[in-house]
Amino acid sequence: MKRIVLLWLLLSTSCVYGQSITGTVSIKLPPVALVDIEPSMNITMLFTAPGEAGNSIVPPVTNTSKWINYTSAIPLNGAQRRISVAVNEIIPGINIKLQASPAAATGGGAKGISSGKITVGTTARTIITNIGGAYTGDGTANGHQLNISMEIADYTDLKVISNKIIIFTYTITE
Amino acid sequence: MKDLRSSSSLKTLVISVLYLFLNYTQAEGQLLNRSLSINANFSKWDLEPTVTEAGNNYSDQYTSPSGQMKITVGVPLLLGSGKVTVQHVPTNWDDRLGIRIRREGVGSTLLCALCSINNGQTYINVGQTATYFFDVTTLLNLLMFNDMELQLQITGASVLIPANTYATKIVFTIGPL
Repeated sequence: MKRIVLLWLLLSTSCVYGQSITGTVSIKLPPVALVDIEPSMNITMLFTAPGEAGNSIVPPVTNTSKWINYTSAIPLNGAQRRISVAVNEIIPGINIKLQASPAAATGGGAKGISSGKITVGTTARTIITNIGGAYTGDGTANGHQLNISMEIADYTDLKVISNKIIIFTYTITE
Repeated sequence: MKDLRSSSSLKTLVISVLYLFLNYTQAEGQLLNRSLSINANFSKWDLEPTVTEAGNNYSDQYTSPSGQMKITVGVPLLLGSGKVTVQHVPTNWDDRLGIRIRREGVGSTLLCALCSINNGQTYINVGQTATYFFDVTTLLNLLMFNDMELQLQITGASVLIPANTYATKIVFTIGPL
């Protein structure tokens, strides 16, 4: 009987102490490259005819209503990203200028650096560089404020136009 | 004569308990190795969070579906109690990611008389060293808590962490209380 009890004790003890089992948890964090402009509505920029002969046409005031938001996740040792802009067409005699302000304090990570004021054309031009793993926050007052202005480049090319719609396309790439 | 009867009764009792123990264990499919087991069909949680709006980061935390992971804990007659600890052993992990765990219930029990399961119902952080999770005790009999549902959380997911697939093993260990 003692042997049975001893056996039972051995079985009991050996079955409990130190036993381990495992499960697995994994999380896939994929590369992310998202860019957006807030708010989404159109903006209107009007040139004003001079009231006095001999004076120049008055360009529209700089528009600062738009903000660019982005989210970027890159692999380890992956290339930093940049944001470029292009328009669908240009207006003869008019230069469209765009400058991204420094990133707002919202969000986190390695937010990008403004490339300064550039002239926008139908070929993409970089406006923000050095974007690492970062997010700006969503909506106005998050990310980089955009300063969009128009200047007369050449009076000889000016023509009367009305309601010309220009589409800006922003792209985030490596 | 009385001693012989007493001895015989005790022997019968012990053999009965041993028989019960073995049969119960065999029913679990884990002969003599059933004190702590995990339901293999639900032992993995693969999370793939997404960001859908530019400017946003991942959510602060992600919670596994209810019952994503299940464990079965058994304590035999003469031991009476056991303590379950939990830790994670990284396969490929970033320390900015956190893991939390809790048990959602007691599972189903058989042969439970004067038994109890204590703690573990609020989330605890799972680190790389063993941390007390919960304990089970019984006074009179074999005890099995079957398919006890666990819920996991992953915290700290961020686009600031290099894009990659990160994995770690969650290790449950039963030992003396």
